[in-house]
Amino acid sequence: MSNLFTLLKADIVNTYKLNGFKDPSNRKKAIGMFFIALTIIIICFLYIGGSAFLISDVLKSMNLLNILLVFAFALPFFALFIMDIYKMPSVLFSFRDYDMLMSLPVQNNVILAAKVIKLMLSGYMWQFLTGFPIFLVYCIKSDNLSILSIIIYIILFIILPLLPISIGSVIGFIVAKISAKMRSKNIIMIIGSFALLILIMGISFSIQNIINEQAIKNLVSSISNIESSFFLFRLYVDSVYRLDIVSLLLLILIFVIPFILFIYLFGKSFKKINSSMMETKASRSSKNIKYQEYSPVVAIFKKELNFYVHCVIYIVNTFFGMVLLFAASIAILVIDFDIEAFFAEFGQLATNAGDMKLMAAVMVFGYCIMLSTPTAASISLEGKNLWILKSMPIHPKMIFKGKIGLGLIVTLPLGVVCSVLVYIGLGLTFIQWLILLAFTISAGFLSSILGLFINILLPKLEFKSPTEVVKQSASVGVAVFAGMFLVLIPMILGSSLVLSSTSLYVLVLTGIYTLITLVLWQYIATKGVKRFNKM
Amino acid sequence: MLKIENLTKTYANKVKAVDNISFEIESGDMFGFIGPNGAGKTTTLKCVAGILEFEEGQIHINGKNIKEDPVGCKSDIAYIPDNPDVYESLTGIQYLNFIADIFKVTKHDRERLTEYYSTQLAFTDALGDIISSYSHGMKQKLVIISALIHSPKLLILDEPFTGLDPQASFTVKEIMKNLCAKGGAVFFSTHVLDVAEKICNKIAIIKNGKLVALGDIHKVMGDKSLEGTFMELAKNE
Repeated sequence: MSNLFTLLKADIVNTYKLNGFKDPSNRKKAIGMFFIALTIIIICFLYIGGSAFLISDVLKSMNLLNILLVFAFALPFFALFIMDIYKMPSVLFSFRDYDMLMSLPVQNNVILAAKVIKLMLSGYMWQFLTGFPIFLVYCIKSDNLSILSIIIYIILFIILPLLPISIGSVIGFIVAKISAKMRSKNIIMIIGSFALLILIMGISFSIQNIINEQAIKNLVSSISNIESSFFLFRLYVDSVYRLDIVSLLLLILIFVIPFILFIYLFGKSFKKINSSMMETKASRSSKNIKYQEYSPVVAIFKKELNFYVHCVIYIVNTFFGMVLLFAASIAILVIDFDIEAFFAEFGQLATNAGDMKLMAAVMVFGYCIMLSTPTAASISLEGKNLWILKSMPIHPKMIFKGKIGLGLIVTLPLGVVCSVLVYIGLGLTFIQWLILLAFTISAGFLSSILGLFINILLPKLEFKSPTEVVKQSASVGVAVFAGMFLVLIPMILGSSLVLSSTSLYVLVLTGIYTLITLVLWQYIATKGVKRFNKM
Repeated sequence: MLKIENLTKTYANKVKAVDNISFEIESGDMFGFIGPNGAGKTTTLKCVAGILEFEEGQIHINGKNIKEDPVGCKSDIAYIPDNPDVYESLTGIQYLNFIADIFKVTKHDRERLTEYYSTQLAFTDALGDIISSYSHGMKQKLVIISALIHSPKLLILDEPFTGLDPQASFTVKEIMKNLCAKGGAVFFSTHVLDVAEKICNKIAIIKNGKLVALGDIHKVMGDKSLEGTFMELAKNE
């Protein structure tokens, strides 16, 4: 038991960097991160609770308040289910500290238990964030709340993570096994990540639509069927709302038995599974050996591209804007809605609906392209490999060009394709398409060079995993913020000006972007080189 | 080949990692750089390789100043770090092609030299594999091959024998000797004093950023072993 506690404590302290509070040099940063995390938690809690509160009155008026219980159960259940599939390959299989832990004089099942308990604790945190605010609203709004309901809710709160862990582990194991055998194994993770992000955005938009009272009433007939149509939901509502002990026991069995089976079976072959998953499939053949010559800039670009396609977190974070743009462009083509009537509603911004369409397209293109700045992390991601670039007999400008090339390949080809789709979908004139194309190209160059410029100013070369750079580094945050600023400010200014021609305005904006790009390149090629040499 | 004059490198915490050191390495020299941990060996090697900037002093490689003509200097050298951190998502051959592209090695030469050194280091079968699957020693071999395929005049190595198997270690020593025999030079740091004693013609011993011994290895050692000399200097200074 003491071993379990020791392992769990060490793992949690390491994962959540709790020692940062003790270390005087890192204390400020740790406290800052703590307050950022706390703010995010409070915002999520209030957003979910607020949304539940907004729909609760309508549900109550229709005597369907127990639908909130379905949400209080379903939201954390599916969130944990998806997260466990996503996290399992790194938490239970091929985990980083496997060698260290397995060398300790500790039973395998204690190691497994420590990992599972850590997953459960994270599950409780997510449940508290996603399900608990809804249950709280239910408690506030319910007229005949029994104390037994709360006790049953707590019991089910405790066991809820068990089933997602069991099923998520099995699916995660299968995904990890399949992807390990695939040549381009990251493709599963990349497609899965994009699908998940688009799903989350879709749900987020749907929740906003649900908040409209009429929409709720329209949806009630289908929502009211959810409880009866999904077995687990019915059991949950029967347990918490109707206080049915048989349903409660059945639910406990459904959650606990697969978990016990999972622990028993996985525990028996824990070492074997992990050993087999950590085996490297070395081809030991010379058939992949090709000798090809490229210029130094192309060689750097190829190296950047290779890393990009092999780093899932890098792609997911820096290509999502372009995926969104592509999805939106396709949607305009295939979804049947009255574009002319939609744009005719916006009368003030431009002289006619055609101008409005161009303006809207420019704003969306600018937004998505500015979200796509792999260069904002590309110097940082060199990390321990920086010695390779710095010891090379090439001017740093050539290194920068190779990195900018990656930024351009991420935004421009897809940006050009999307401009054609939007040209057809929105029915732009040929001249408007050319203007949109020019804007796309200038925004692509600006996004790429702006990212590199900021990364040179704010490099983060010390990191344990690329996630720290791609998701948490100052450079990436500032680059996205600066990009948004460069898109939104001209649009706000544009909307306040009396425009004789939107096309002319977009052309001027394209010119300004090009000018900023040239100024930034001038800085990168002079002072940026000096900064790079000092890294 | 390499001339270091009054080199001083100070880190942000005001600590002088290298304090006013000067020496020269000529064609054919096998120059061993010895010192305890934290003495300033790696910092010196990195300054010579153009990786670290320094405040005072001059470094000349083949008559070219590293500050004034870094690209020209780097074209003549190859640097092998103590820890072979390389691009893990590339295959071995992709990494070698990458280095060869930067050093503008022709297709014919890169093919010939890759095959030659890969055979020498028993690495041919691993060339097509992804680097993340390599052991430490295999990564070290890859970095050594990448350093040699552009035929450097000056080879700079930081603890080159760490992680190598005995056969590879022997091969690397032979390659170093051959490079010196052909008019090149080798400048390497090591903790393996027996190796330094056997293969070096010149050595420098550095302690707390300052040189405490320099010159022909036999003159520095006198009638003692290199280990004895090193221990004595370490104790006295």
